[in-house]
Amino acid sequence: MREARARWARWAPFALLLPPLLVLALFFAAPYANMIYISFLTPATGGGAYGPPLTLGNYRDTLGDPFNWRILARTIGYAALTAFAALVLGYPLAYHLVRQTGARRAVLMVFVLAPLLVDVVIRSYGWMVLLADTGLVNSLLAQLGLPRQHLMYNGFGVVVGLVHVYLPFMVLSLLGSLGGRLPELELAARGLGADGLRTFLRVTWPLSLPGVFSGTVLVFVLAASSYVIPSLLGGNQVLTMPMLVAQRVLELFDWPSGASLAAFMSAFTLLLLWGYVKLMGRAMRGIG
Amino acid sequence: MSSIVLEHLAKRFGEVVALDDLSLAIADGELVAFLGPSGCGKTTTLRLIAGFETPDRGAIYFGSRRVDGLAPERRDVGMVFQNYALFPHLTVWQNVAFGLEMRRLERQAIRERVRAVLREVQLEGLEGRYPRQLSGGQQQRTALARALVTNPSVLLLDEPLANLDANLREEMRFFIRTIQREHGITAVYVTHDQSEAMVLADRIAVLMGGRIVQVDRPEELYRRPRDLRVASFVGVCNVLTGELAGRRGDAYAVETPVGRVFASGPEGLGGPRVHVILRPEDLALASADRPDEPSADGRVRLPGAVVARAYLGNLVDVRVEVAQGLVLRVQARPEEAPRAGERVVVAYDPRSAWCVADA
Repeated sequence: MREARARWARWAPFALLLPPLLVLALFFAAPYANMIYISFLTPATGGGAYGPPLTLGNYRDTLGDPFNWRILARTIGYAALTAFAALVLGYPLAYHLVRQTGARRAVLMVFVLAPLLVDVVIRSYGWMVLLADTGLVNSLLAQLGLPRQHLMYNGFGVVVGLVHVYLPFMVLSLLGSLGGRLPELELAARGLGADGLRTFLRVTWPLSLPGVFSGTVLVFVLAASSYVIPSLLGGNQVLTMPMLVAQRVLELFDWPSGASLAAFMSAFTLLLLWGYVKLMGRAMRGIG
Repeated sequence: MSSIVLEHLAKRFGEVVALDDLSLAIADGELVAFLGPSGCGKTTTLRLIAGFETPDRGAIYFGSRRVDGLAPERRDVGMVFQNYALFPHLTVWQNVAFGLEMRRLERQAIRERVRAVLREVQLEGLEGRYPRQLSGGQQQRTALARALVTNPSVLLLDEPLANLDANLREEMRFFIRTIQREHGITAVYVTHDQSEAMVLADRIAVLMGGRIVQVDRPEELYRRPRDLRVASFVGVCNVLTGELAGRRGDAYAVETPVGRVFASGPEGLGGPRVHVILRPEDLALASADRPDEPSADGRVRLPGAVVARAYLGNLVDVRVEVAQGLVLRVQARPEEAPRAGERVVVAYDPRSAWCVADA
């Protein structure tokens, strides 16, 4: 009896982990493995389905085509720019928010989170109304006698959309590391003779790095894999990696090619993140 | 080093009055403890002096320099926070050097100064540790070193020992006192622990409800409290409440439920309702069986019965009921302490008792 209980105590944590592990295995690991498998299959020729034999040809084509590298670079570039802009906008917001109390804080919190209530497609259309050549912003410019600007169907429109949609994730990530004991530590720095700027550089910024790290990674990954926003706000002028993959798979029915592209992007992104983790890990030494 | 003068300070947070017309002059090199229950305004006062808050009214001077409009970094104060507020991403050395770097001292001067202060607080060998790798006492000393390293004109301490265990707390009291004396630095020490204030302070300011109720040397505060609130906040006290019934020599006569008693008190004590404060260590116990001692010594004698006793090691806390529902706490030596239920007489010298007017 006691032995059975001891055994149960040892296995209980794994038993609790089992449901999420099953879900992940079934809906994440298995499809991903399948995608990797497909990326090694021979593409269809002349109307046939893709299938064996296994080949490295898809990767040769994917990696050998400078066009793919350009699209990858653009995708990564937009994602990095989005993460950076979200950080610049989100940091003061989170800084202010975490120093509020009671009802004020709750209300501001709702403002930060409210956009998540509206689906990303709807919000993208909202931006189209604003940014289109005949949209709200341009009519305003025209009223003021200023020249019309192309604000969408280009990189600018895509990044604006991405920043808007993923900003809440940045703010939420930053909240934790900007609150807690940080306000008191800032006072300590001021008491020791540091002015506002030096307090920020020596205390606030280094101690907020964990939040900066998780926020930028989160927004970067979300932005890099975003499909709807670049499709709608970029039109067909701005092709990104997820769009390219979708094109190959859904329009050209070239599953092995699409799969190899997706794997290529995943691998490259992981590599970048690994480098980022190393870099930030060094900067955050001592915190924790 | 410089004196600190607080003039008519007032501060409100929304509807809450934190400070209501607080004035105090602290001499150069003096250590004043702000003592009071939580919410009495003591920490607010400290934060006003440090510059972390600005007063709604009033002025603050360090020496002849008015500082209440200055940013904290321009006041030249050293502050030790309750939770130490050490920078977690910096080592002990970097924490202590921080204030000197902000003053843009030369590297060599910084190195010498940090080393000297770390030696003073006995943290040599721990320079490379991060705060989380230190014990509570070591963190405390790091905080002290960081506050002292810049030779500030004023040292502010906000319940610096609250998070230490009892033994260490006692040790650190003397340590802080010694260092403050050696530096001759003017210091304000906030605490809610009266024994800490007693040990450390030249003078204690008792704060209640955003005002200073009494400022005095520890002995004065203990022996001659201004009112019942101060008396009961500083040490254990027995209270006999009654009506003022004239004087006999130096003593006041007070009509109480246990009869007429005598006690010293301030000049011009106002009646009619007054409280006689009796400290447990000033009360003596005699057996009721023995014949009365000659009352010519002028001692007041109150017969009663022991209702409870608590053994405390070095002494016994005896509770004696001297009237219906009126229990006095008496300190007795263990070998002399009566048993529960015994009839005893509580005796005291009127000069050791103190009368205060009803607030």
